Order: sequence, then structure tokens, then C-alpha cells
Amino acid sequence: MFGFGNYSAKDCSGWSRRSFLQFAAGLPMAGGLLNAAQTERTPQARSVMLIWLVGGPSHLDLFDPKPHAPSEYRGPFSAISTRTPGMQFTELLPRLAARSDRFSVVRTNINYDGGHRAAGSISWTCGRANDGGESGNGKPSGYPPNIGSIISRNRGSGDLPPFISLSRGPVGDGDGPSLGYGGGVWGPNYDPFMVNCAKTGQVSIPELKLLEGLSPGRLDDRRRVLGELDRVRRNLDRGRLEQWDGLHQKAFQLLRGGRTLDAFDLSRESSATRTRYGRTSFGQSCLLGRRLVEVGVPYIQVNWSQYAEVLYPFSDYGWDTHADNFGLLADWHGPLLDQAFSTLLDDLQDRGLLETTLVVCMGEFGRTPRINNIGSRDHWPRCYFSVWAGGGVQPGRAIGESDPRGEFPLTEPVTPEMVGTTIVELAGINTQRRAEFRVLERGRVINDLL
Amino acid sequence: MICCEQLRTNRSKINSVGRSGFFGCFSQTQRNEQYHFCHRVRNCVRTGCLSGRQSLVYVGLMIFTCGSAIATEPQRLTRDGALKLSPVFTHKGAGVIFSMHREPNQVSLMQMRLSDANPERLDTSLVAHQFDADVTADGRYLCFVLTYTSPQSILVIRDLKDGTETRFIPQEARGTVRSPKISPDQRCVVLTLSDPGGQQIATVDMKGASLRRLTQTVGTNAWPAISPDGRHIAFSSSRDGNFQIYIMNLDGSGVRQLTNHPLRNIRPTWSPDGQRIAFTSARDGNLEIYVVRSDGTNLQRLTDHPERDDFPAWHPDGKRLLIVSEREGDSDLYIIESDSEDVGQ
Repeated sequence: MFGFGNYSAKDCSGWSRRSFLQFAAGLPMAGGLLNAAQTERTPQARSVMLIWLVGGPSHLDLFDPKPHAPSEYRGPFSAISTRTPGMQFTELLPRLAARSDRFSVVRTNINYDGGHRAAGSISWTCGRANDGGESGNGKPSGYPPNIGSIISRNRGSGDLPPFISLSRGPVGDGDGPSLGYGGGVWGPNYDPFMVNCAKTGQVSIPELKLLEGLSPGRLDDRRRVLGELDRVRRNLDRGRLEQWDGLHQKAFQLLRGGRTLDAFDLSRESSATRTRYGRTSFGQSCLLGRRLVEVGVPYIQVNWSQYAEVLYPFSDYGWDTHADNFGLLADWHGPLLDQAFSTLLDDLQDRGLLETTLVVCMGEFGRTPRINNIGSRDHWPRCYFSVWAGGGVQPGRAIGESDPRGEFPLTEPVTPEMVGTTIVELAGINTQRRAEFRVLERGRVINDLL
Repeated sequence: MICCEQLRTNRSKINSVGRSGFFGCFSQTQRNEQYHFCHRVRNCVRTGCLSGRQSLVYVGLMIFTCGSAIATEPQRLTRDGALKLSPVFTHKGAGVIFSMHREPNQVSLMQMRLSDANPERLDTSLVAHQFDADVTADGRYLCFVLTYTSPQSILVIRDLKDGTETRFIPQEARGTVRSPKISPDQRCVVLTLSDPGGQQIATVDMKGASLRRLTQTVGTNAWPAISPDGRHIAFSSSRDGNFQIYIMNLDGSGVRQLTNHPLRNIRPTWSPDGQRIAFTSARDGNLEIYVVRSDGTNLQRLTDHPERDDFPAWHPDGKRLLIVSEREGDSDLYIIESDSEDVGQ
């Protein structure tokens, strides 16, 4: 099931091969370069899964329907009851409606930017760039560290990378990736380990493609790959060796960690289990995420797609439904999300993992409550949703209330800082620790979730 | 004991089913009931709720009912599991064209002969997304939607006889076309147009010109289908709240509502004889295929499965339907029966 990825060293991300080698050289798991400080108390969430719906899913058409709004706002989907008294979803989510006692929904999220890339970065880092970010000539180092980077720094090294992002490539839109994907001001040492999971369940690790001179092969033929790694290493001169060694160690540790490496092998799951998640890249990534939770990876970002856009000539299937929002949601997005996310919650619950795994499902913003002139919805960062389950979250609650048209919060807005603070708090990073890290120092938790 | 009570209830049901016919004479709905009944019997035997003579009686019933149910299970055509949508029959029912999420960034049109069930790309060199195909009965014209500039999608009408193509491009830079259907007289294409004025049903001629909006209502209008006689269009609209099926004349006049249910009713498609309309509905909790006479009577449920059944397309013989189903977990094409014997009752 394993294969080397087809990572292109020069894609829209602007990540050069060199930069990739540099960041890989210092990853926490690569050489134990970081002090794995113990948290001061046992975290309620041993693992965090961020289910990232890139593109901006429509809150009115999913988790916050407004059946009594005027027709130019309401949308065509009916509201259905959930197991949570007083909370309705749209008819696109019948399975999640039947499981609403397992999670809570925040309906008053806000973001500070209406563009995919910047809003994504703000969501992931809970802050703004100090160099203009995506709208200027910003760099990843201009952003605060990603929530996953904070948790991985706190948790330290292990057999597997502490921050894994499941995607075909850096997540963003057609203009490039969201720059807040990783360590930011902390540097590339804290960037995520990228893993691609295809709809077939085939898992590839794009970074390993960068091992110079390494011929494509199968990772499950571990002995041969290790031999090849050694051969390549012997042929490098000293200067290049230092640069290469970090990635080499990273690959070496991964390949040597038999049990942990098995976590990437979806063929170990029954066909029935894999089918339940849906034979889509997103569905299989959710399953892979669950397997990574089982082996103790602290932070996993499961990405719906690589690109925000949907059906652009270059793009995959994001939630950016500027046109044909209702057709696309009825055809694809709604059923696929309902199937994969409800199965993930069931699976985590059945395995006794939900209690110690925080699952957060959201996008960078919602979509315009008022239907646009071509019968669809555009970006809307002023009010949207997030779904929270497990890891210390009280389930079965509707947190906050949006106005009758879904345009603005009626109750206290939930900011990106509050989202990030709540996640890291549940992951065991308390106020003192946040102060030591100089992150989220003014953040507040979403008390209604706890 | 609860399951035994269910059995007693269902025993009376199946007795009435038994009186109504034998094996293949059962309606699809009756067969679905039998199929689920047989599972309940089996579970009761397993859990020990039944014993001795009771078990024998129920096992006998189970064998009887399984025989008929299994014989009518949907026929699976594809097994690749890739996401599919909008299938249509071609070549008088011997072939199929459908849209498939072939690669992460590529939705393609696929064609397949039913005899070998081996899907192949229709346009192998095309890099854009290509979906929602329709083909005329004589095989002369093919139309489909093509992503163009971002995120605009356009209509392409291809004359397969002389190899020429014409296009219709929405006015708005983000405008889209979906679900084009060629009229039986090959004079126009009816489509869903998202352009200034909202998402409406419209027609263009075979040159992609003479745009005419047939609906101009609030809400969303989508999934048009032209009747075999070319006089009517069935479509879904949320003009009255949520998605319901409506029928109108080809010029947009004479709109009447066909369905009325709080959950969505979408993707209508006419039977070849023009008497019935198959569609997808969520009225029973998940997406299933239903059929109703074009006057709104004799509603029947054709599928009954916890997974999604969607995108119905009639076979030219009027006795079968092609659907996309996730009943084995994967998204694949299946053929189901349309229960034609019930027409006229």
C-alpha cells in the first residue's frame, strides 16, 4: 500500500527542494533536537484531529440552517431535527444529525480575513502575519506557529512525527498555500509531516521523494529502502551530507519504527471498515487519521482537499462554491462529509478513543447568507460554524446563536484565538506553558464547550 | 422479544405479499420488504428468539422470501468505486456514458459497453473537468459541461457525425451550466443556468445561441429533463421552500407541482413512454430512487438501502433504470428494475 509520492519540487507552494531538506533536517522526531517538555497535567486530548474543510463550507446549508429566513437567504435544503434538542442541521447531514449527541456545534465563529489563504493561516495560527502575509510578499516565518506546531513542540519527539498533515500537497488555493501551515516564526523544525492518502488508500510520503538518488520503491520493502538510503548517504560529500542528514534520519526512524510505520498501512483495515469511510481521498484520510491517533500522534490535520476551489481547471474538490453551491453540495460535498465524518466519530467511539481525542471540524469561513446573483454563495468570515467532539468537550450542545439570517453572531463571537486556545488547553498546554512558548497569551477558552 | 413482535407484524405482511403473486410477480416494494424480513428472521434464529417448530416455519419463509429478493437485487455494473454522477444510456441501451471523479483534480466523462463493463475515457487528451453528458437516441449529438475559465463552466454540443462543436458560454465570469439535455427533436438543449438572475432553467439552440430562460423564480431551479414527446420539462425547484419536482411546458408555461414532501425530491427523469418520472428523494431518511406517474399518482419506491441510491436514468426499454449507488460502500453503477407491471394500476 505504500509508495513514494510524486511530489513536485516546484509547485505553486514555492517550497523548493532545498527548503524542504532544510526543514526536514530539524524536525523534532528526526534527531530529538527538542526538549520534550512534559505537560504539567495530563491532557484531556492525547491527540487532536483537525478536519479541515478548505474553501469555506456554507454554514446555512449544513450546520446552521435558517428555515424561516427569506428565500434569498434560506437555500433549498430542508432543516431536520437532530438528537440535540433545539438544534437542526440541513437534510444533507442525516447521519450527523443522528449522532449529534456525540459532538457540539459552535455557530458563532468569526475570522478576520475573507481570502482563503490568509483566513486559513489565521485559523491555523490564531494570529496575523507580521510581514503582510499572503496579501504582501509574506513568508511562512511571518506567521505565529500553527496550533499543530505548538502541540508538537510541547509533546516532543516520538517514533512518528508529532504533527502530520494529510493532503496531496500544501493546502491553499490557486494562488498558493496558506503560509501558516507550520512552524512560522519558530522555523521549519515545527512544520507538519505531509502524507498523501489516495482514494484507493495508497499512502505516499512526498518528502521521501526528495531523497536524492533514491529510486522509487515501496516503503513496505523496508530492508531494500534502508539499504538504498545507506547507499545514497555514502555517496554524498560532507557539505551535502549535513543538509541531507535530517531528512535521512527522519526517513530512517520512520522506516525502522515497525509498529508505527504500520499505522500508514490501510490494507490492515478490513474492507468493510475502509468502505464505511467512503472510498474517497477524504474518507480514507479520516481512516488514516484514526490509525495515527491509535499510535499516539499528537496532532493530525485531515484536509478535505488541497485546493479551496471546486471544479476549476486545476483544482480538486474544495468547498469554494461561488457557483452552483446547491447542486454541488447535493451531488458531492454533503453526502461525502456526512458519511466520512459520522463514520470517524463512530469508529473513535467504538474503539474507546473519542474520550481522549479532540476532533474539530471546520473551514476558514462560511458562505454568504444572501444568495448571490448567480444563485450561489460567496465568502463569509463574519459568522460560521465549527464542530467539536471528544477530548474533554461536552457533547450535545449548540454553542452560540447566529441571527435569523445567519449573517452575524447574536451571542459572543468565537474568535480564531479562542479556537486555538481551547484546542491547546485541552491538549494539556496551560496558561503558564503558553506564556513560556509566547503563544496565545491573551487567548480564552470557549467555556461553553467544556 | 421485540424482534419476535416485529416478525409477527411482518408475517402478516408477507402473507399478503404471498397472496398477491409469486416470485417475479412481486413488486419491487414488496420484494424489498421480503428482503428485510428475511434478515430479521435470520437474526431472530441467531439470537435464539425462535426455537423448534417456530424456527422451521420462519426459516421456510426466509428461503421463500430470499429466493425472490436475491433474484431482484440490483445488478452491479462497475467495481472501481470512484465517485460517479449523471449516467445516461447510449447505443439504444447497449452503452453508458457517465461522469467520474477519475483523478483528484479531474472529473472526466467515461464511456462503457454494458457487455464488458470496462469504462474508458471519452476524451483522453482533455485536461479540464468534463461532466453531465447527454446523447441523442440516434447517437448523432453529444453534449456535456466543461470547466472553462475559473470557475466558469460552459456547454459543449458535439455533432458526432461531422465532428464539429458548438459552445454556450454564460454571461457571468463565474456563471455555470449544469445538467444539459438535448430535446428529442434535436432543436434545443435545456439546461440549468447559473447566471445573473439566479439559478434557472433555460434553453439554447443546437448552435449554443438563442438563450431563453424558462424560469425566473426565487429559489433554485435545477436538473431539467425533457419528456420523450418533447412537450414538457420536469425539473426540481425550491421556489416553494425546498426541492420539489415540477413539470412545465417546453416554453416555460403551465407549471405544476408533482411532489410535495418536506425532504428533497431531485433529479427527475422521464420514462421512455413518457408515462412515469423517476427521481431521487430523501423522504425516507436517505437518498432512494422513486417513480411516480406524470400526473403525480402511483408513487413507488424502487430502492431501499441504508446507503445512497441516486442519479436515475431510464433504459430505453422502460423496464430498467441505471443508478449510482453506494450500497457496497463504493460509488458504482447499478441497474435496477422499474416495476413496469404496476403502471396503470
